[in-house]
Amino acid sequence: MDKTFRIKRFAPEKDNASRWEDFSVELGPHERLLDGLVRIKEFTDGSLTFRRSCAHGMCGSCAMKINGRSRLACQTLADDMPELVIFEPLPAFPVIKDLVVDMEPFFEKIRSVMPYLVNDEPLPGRERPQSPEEMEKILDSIRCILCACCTSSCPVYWGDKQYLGPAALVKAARFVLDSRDRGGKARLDLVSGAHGAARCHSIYNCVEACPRDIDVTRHIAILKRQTLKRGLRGAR
Amino acid sequence: MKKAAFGWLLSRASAVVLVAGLAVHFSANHFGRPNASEHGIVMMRLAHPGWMAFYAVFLLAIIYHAAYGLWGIALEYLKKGRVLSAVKSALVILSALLVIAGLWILSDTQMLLANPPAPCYKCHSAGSTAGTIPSGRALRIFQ
Amino acid sequence: MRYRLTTGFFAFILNRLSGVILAVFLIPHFFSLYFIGDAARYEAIRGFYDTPVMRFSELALLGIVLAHGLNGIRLILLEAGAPTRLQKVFFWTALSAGALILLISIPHMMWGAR
Repeated sequence: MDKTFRIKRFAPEKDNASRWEDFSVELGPHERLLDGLVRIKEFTDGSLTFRRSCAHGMCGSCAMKINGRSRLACQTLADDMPELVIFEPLPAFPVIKDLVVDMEPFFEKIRSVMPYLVNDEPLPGRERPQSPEEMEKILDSIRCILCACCTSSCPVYWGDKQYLGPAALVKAARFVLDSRDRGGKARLDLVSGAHGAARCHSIYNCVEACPRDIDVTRHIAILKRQTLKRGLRGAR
Repeated sequence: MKKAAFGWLLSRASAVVLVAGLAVHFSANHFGRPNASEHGIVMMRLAHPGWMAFYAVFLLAIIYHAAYGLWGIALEYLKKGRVLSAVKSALVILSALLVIAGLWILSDTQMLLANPPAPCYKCHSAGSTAGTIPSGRALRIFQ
Repeated sequence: MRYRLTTGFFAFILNRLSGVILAVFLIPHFFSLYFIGDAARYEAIRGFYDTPVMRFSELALLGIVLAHGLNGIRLILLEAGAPTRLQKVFFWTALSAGALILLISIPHMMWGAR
């Protein structure tokens, strides 16, 4: 099947502004868009720049805006796309080159919510066990691959770069809901600021963009309710 | 740090008050009966303390909700701290002014009710400014 | 190419716009009521609102109130824990309910005695 890949390109060493370039690619029925990009890079234009790693929806490297929404190029079947496929770098992040964006603002937000297990209690044995019910609570959020599809799709984040964004809030919720974690209070304080969970307006772009089908907005709503509960109890 | 959560709760609580309140407000002033927003009818309604209490709560809810919403928009689109604090002061002042104006309006109706106007109350047709009714403060300031 | 307009994004834009319009509307609304102490002036202002153009704007106002209020109920339900899979259903329900109420109100708002 013949596809036209219209790619928004920007090479900082020679371009003043971004430009569009069309490539025609032939893709089999079971090939993904990433296969097309790789083929262009290998056979047509070696300067085409994009991130890729696992090519199986596990690493989150090839997130980009394809036909108007954030998604993984490796997870999008060519068959499901119209003949003209438009590629742009992820929205809301500074472009480094072609489809590669600077992810530092994204990871900075992730780091700011203590994205690690906090527990100073001595180990009960070889590990900290969880019951299946306790594990169920974090089963959705632990699947996040930090691809930034959600944060880049969020209209609030487009306007407010201080907003923690869906990914960081999901990460916070993941540990707040974890039965083994003891850092919940500190973490709730981190997301209860003016640019935290309260900035989420339940737009659901993140839910539709998430390649792992995480119910992002539900996790942010949990944070809103928990910060409120903590506030009503009086911060202890 | 906890403030944001309270602000959020209050905005949602005021939203619930407003949805119910607007239904009442709209029905009373437009649909309740023919000419439901005529002066005499509005005054009659406001003679009841229940309506006064309703409008006092309604007033506070709507001003808080509007200010919270506009502040949220400012937080999201304004980057400079100076501009943001200017917007904050403007919102606080405007909200205070509107609350005062609202309470003034409500108290004005009570003054009018306490000092019933001159005999011919109903004969003032719409648009007529002939004849004066001794009444509220707005009148005294503007005339 | 701009970002795809999803249902939730559309609802968000609608809520923002209607919210700002309603907030701004409070100022003229309070100003009109400022003369409630003077029956004659109050009735004069009421007469000013009783033209086809003003009646139509009041109908539009009702529409904006309905859009903001009913979508607001949707948002509160979702934040309180209603499942995400219902968010679109909620939106279209709110919108249809609003449209229905608006439609029923047209005769009274445009031509009724008030």
